[in-house]
Amino acid sequence: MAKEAKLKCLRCGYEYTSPVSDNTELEERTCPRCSSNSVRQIREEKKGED
Amino acid sequence: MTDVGRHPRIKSMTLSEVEDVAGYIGNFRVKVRKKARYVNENECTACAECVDICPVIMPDEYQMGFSSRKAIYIPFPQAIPSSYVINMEDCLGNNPIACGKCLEKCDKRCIDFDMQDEIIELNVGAIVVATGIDVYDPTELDEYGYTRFENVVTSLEFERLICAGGPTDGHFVRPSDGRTPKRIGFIQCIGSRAYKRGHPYCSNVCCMNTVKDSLLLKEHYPDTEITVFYIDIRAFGKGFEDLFNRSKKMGVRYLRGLPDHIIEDPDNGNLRLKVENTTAGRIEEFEFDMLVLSVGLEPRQDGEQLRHILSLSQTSDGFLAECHPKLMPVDAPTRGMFLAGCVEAPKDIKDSVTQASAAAARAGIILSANKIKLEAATAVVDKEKCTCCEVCVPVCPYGAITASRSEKIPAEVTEAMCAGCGTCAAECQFGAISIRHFDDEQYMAQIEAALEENPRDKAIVFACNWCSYAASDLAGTSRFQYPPNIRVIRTMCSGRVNEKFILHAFKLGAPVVLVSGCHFADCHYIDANRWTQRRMDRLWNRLERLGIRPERLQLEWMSAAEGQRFAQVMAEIEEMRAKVSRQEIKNTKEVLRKRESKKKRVTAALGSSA
Ligand SMILES: [Zn+2]
Repeated sequence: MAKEAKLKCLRCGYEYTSPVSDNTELEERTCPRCSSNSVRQIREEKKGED
Repeated sequence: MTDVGRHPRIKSMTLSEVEDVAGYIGNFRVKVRKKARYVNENECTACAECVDICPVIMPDEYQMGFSSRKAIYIPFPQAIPSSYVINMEDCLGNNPIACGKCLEKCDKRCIDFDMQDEIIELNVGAIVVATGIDVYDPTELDEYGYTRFENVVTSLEFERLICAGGPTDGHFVRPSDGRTPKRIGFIQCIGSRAYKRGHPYCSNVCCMNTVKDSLLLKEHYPDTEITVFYIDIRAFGKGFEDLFNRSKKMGVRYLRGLPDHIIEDPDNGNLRLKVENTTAGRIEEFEFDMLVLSVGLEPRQDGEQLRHILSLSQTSDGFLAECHPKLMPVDAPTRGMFLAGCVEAPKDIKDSVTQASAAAARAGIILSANKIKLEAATAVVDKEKCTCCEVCVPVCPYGAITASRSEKIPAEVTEAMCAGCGTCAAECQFGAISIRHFDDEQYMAQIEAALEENPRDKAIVFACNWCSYAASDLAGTSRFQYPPNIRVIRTMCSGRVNEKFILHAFKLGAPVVLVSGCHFADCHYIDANRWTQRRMDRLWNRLERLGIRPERLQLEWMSAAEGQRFAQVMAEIEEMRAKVSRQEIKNTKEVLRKRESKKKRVTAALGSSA
């Protein structure tokens, strides 16, 4: 199911929210400002393996 | 269809459902559920005695509900086999108190209420998927009153009403009062080219279908006034423009503009609408006896299930994706499977026949071949290293890998199914999978060579063979200039780019790394590049935790035609590279070296304690 996610463009720095899905049918992410695909999904929890 | 049914070398299984497909090109094993039809199809002569006596009356789906059928029936006149079927949801059953009349009536004893579904296993060399489409249901467009006004019908319902084999034997009448309508309006693009309700794509066939319908009407009822409301008339096929002009010459009026809503006159069932004639720039009012909604086409509701069974991918419009939109328009991404007809995209009969003929020919190549060439670059598992974790199993777009954690069975690759995308190798945390001709050591060596001298001046770009690498080629051959300090490393798929390649590049002093691949719809390996995006998300988080700016790792999807975009992205990457300071690179190298030596210590400790 698609849910609202916080996204950040790592090319131009633009931050926005957009629906993203959790399954394999991931949408191609494109920054609405600079049209780069370097769009990172910012997750709230940051538990790591490092 | 009857010819197919009679053909000695074609076995058609109707009322059957594919439940599972295993195997690979030349060697598929297909499990089919042949549903019980409760009538022995070999014995039944379609004498109709059972039909006459059946007391159940249901709407006839084939006639769009304009006429009725019995619980025992033939779905449509040309159906094969030409024998009856009982719809058990409608049938009153074999309980003598309930019914069982057909059973008594059939002299040949063809009816068998105890008939069970059969599971049939087939071995086939190639598979052609031709499961067709659904038609858009205009119920949600309530302003057109499809569910409220009897004389608003869809183009498919119109088709039945005017068909000689239809419920009215071809006498065209309107549903509310059985009169022949004199004024008929067609509204185009119902459910097509719509972003909020319906689908954004053009359904391809509706314009010409309306042109054909208007000609049919004019030929049978020359006095009919016909108005077609449209956005654009798309008459691009051979002879189509002629047909369109003929329709106009016969007096059909084409008006550019769609009505916003329809009102019914309750006294006579006529339909009124206002529309902005966008060519003339004025509002016009109309009254019709009947309105036809030219409905679009959409992917089948049950298509998703079949798509998973066949491990096929879909394009953003929900239709099945072909292997390559221009060069392999008939092949599915899974080798040995082919697409024909509207399952791939909305298309008319001629295009469907063309594609089906091509699919049959493509399948014939496989069937007549003694040997089939397989992909040279396939995945190989080092069973000593494999921990049976099963991570590689779901990432394979082709379902080529099996493993079992519970039974401690290491991963195994069916090489005939493997296309060599390398996603499994990139996801394996234990280095247990390598790709022939594209192994980790080769990539590490390329990264080291690229960053051997002045690494601070270089940007590493991983480019997939089919799209972004082709885009870099196009940029070169088109003489689009891009910064000379870009170092392109070719992978078969972006899914092959292992995290360790990227970290290795950063450890050797690369200021920026770009991973690039095909647009999602163009992925040469079904959906392997979706895993690239997941991995990038994971890696951006990891970089941040390590104190490395995630911005230094970039991602871009490019098609083979985007040479100019490749050059532009490279210029942007170069701009980013120039901003990474010496100190930042030094810190990164230090962090990654420390991380590596810590990892080595842990591994050594684990080794000595074992
Ligand atoms: Zn941006």
